[in-house]
Amino acid sequence: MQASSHIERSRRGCGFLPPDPAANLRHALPIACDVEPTVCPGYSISLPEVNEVVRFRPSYLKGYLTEHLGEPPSEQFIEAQNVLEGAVNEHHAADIRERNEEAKRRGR
Amino acid sequence: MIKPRSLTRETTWIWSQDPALDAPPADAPEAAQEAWALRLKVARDTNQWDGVIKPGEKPTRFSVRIIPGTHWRALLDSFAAGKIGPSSIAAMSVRLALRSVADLTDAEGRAIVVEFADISGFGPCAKQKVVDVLDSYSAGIVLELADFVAERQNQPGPLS
Repeated sequence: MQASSHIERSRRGCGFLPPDPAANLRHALPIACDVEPTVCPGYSISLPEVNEVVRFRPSYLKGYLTEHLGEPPSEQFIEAQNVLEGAVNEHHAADIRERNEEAKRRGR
Repeated sequence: MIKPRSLTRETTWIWSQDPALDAPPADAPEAAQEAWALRLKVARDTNQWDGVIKPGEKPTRFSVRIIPGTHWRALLDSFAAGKIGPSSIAAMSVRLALRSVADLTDAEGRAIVVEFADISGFGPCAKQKVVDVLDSYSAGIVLELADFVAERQNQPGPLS
């Protein structure tokens, strides 16, 4: 693995570096979706709140969030879980679209 | 201990002008000030404080929560109804969010412990005394902390 240069990281929207007006932030999205990123995924996953939302996702999906937290979650936390759920669903939908298009191209 | 940003637990907040921070002098070039602002933002976002706090020094650490929606809306309604003004809403939001403070002393050097009182419609609220102590250092502390509180109340989620 090779470290990227500062200029390259800045162009990719690295949150640890000053913002670059010419940054292309869409490069990192694995699929075409409607989300307009504001920072690179590497920065996002370094945020404690993001990790927290991901860590509690199984409890959220199974309805154990209050038991896991020991108190009812804040509205902001529920909203963050909804945002994550929406992003996961969007990813799945785009994946299916891509597979269907690939199948059409191959004449199946 | 500096607690990372959290949507479920209390979060530590540190004032940008705290003397324990390794900020450039006020007359430093603009580029240095901008670089410092980014370093502080990243430290607050990620809880990576290395190189931001002076070695061996302890900044004043404010432990804040997300204000429950019912109390936050009551505060906004009071403001909309003209019962409190823009300065008061800043102080009240700080008093509602603040849970504790570490390494804060008053002018006589006495350690400040946050005390609470129940205010009708708002639940447990830090007493006015802590705001008075902060104002005795700088009025900017409460305003900056109020911005942080409001940002967290309004954030739809960290992933959007």
